[in-house]
This record gives sequence, structure tokens and C-alpha cells, in this order.
Amino acid sequence: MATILVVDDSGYARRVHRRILESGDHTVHEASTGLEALERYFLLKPDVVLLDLSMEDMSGLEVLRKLREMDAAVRVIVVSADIQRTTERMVSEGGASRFLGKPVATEDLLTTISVLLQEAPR
Amino acid sequence: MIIPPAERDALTELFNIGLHRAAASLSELTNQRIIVDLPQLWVLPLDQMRARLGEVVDGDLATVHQIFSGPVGGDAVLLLEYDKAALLANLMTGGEVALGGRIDQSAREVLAEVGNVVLSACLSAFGDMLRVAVSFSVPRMHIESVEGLLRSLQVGADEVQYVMLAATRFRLSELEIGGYLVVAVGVTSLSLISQTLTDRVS
Repeated sequence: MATILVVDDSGYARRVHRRILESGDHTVHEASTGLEALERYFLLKPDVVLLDLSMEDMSGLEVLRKLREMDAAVRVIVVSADIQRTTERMVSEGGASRFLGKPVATEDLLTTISVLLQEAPR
Repeated sequence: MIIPPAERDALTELFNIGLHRAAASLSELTNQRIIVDLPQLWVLPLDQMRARLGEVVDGDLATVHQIFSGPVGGDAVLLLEYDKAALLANLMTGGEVALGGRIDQSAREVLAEVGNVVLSACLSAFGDMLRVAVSFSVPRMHIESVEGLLRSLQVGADEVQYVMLAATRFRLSELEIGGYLVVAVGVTSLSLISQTLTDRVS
């Protein structure tokens, strides 16, 4: 199973995602800010990052850009309440592997991760 | 009523999802990108809402009410400042309604549809998050003051009445609008919402 970094400023969202991921036997680490996400990614090198877009210190798109600079093969699933088409397009252009709208269903998240892990790294 | 931090965080996330889903619907309606600020959330007895709401809005408001029912019931209201509501209706019709900044009958119909789409999107997100079926009434559009709004809120009369007030500003790419969402619920619904959100992470 995979190591997954959950990045979200909402403690509630982190707990919901942790619960889902642990039900799939994944190991979960958390970050509540963009800066913490970058630090934890550098130290942990998780298999997948779940990334929210709205955070106080920097936007998720900014975090995504910096993660890609750090590791071009990073696998990022953006999980956001902002489900506008323009947002989804920006996320895709920013290099995210997948985009899921909140609230995310257990099966959707676990299946997305499973499929993503089977894909060859970029 | 003191809301524990974890519960407040859960309610804020609930509103955040609802507001963004509403914004996505508004984006489809207007063909514009919508930028939503992080929402502020208050849970207040109905009689304390006047003071809080008065801090963020003043004068006449364009409001759209949508009564919702099911295991969780109450009154959801989209509040727009009058002049901004007129601009929005004008923008959405290519300048055909709300001429001179006046919300006429045609503009009311446009705004009622905006409210319907926005509130339905938001309440649908609540239903998904809470895993309950939420039914909606036909939306009602009003021009009213804050006092009028408080009088017109429809919550179960036999219950202690609380209001969850989520305030955010949302900006269309061509227009900045002060938009607020008010969800008035009875104490039974509020307890159920809190309990359901807590159950999701326990």
C-alpha cells in the first residue's frame, strides 16, 4: 500500500480523507499549509499527494508548481470544493495527475489512487 | 451557543464545499470565472443575527429564499446588495433588464433563477456531505431590509431557532459582488448536522 500526504487547511477534511485512506490500508501523513506540504514532501517522498486548493499561506496551484519543480514525477490528486471547469483546466495544466471534487466518495478516492499507482511515473 | 473548534471546522468545511459548488453553478450561468474568498461562519440565535448581519450589509437587499426539508430542514437565503444584484441581472441578460440599476420584474425573474441555481447547488452539497435527501421549495425573491429578512426566515416555529451565517465575497471576472449565504435551521437540524459531520470522522 502507499504513503500518502494529505494537504488541506481544514482539519475536518484531513480527518475525513485520513479515514478513507486508512480504510484502504494506506499510510497517511498530513500538512495544513502549503509550506508544511513542501517540507513534508521533501522529507517523506510520499507516493501520492492529496492537495486542496484553498489555503491561507499559498494557493494549491502554487504548491503544485513548487512540488513539480522539486520532483517532476510527483503524483498529485487535487481534491477541491472549487469544481469550476476553469479550475479543473488550471489544475490539469499545472500538472496534477487527477482532480476530484469535494466531498469525495470513498470508492472514488481509493480507486483513483489505485489506478494512479499502477501508471508509470511521468 | 459555544461550538467546539472541531465542530466549527467541520461546519466551515461544509459551507466551503456548498459555496464552491454554488460558485461553479454561477460560473456556468454567467460564463465567468468566480473567485470565492474563504467563508466566515457564525452560529447564532436568530435574535442575535441582526447585529452580525448589520456589520456586513446595509440598506435594501435582494434576497432569494429557498425552503428545504427532509431529515434536515430550514430556510436557505442568498443575499446580494441591491445595486450589485441589479448589475448581475443586467450582465446576465446582456443589458436587457435592470436598466438604470432598478430591479424590475424581469430582473427579479433573472435573480430568482440565479438564487435557485446557487442555493440548489449549495444544498445539494449539504445533502451529499450529510448523506441525506434534501428537498427544495420554489425559490422566492424579495427586496427587503435586514429586519425584513429576519421576519421572513422560515424555521420550524416550535423549535429554538439558530442561524448559520456564512459570509463571503465572491467576484466574477467582470464584477465584484458581495454575496452572503444564510442558512436558518432549528436546533434539531443543527444537532443532526453536527452529529453527522462528527460521525464521518469517528
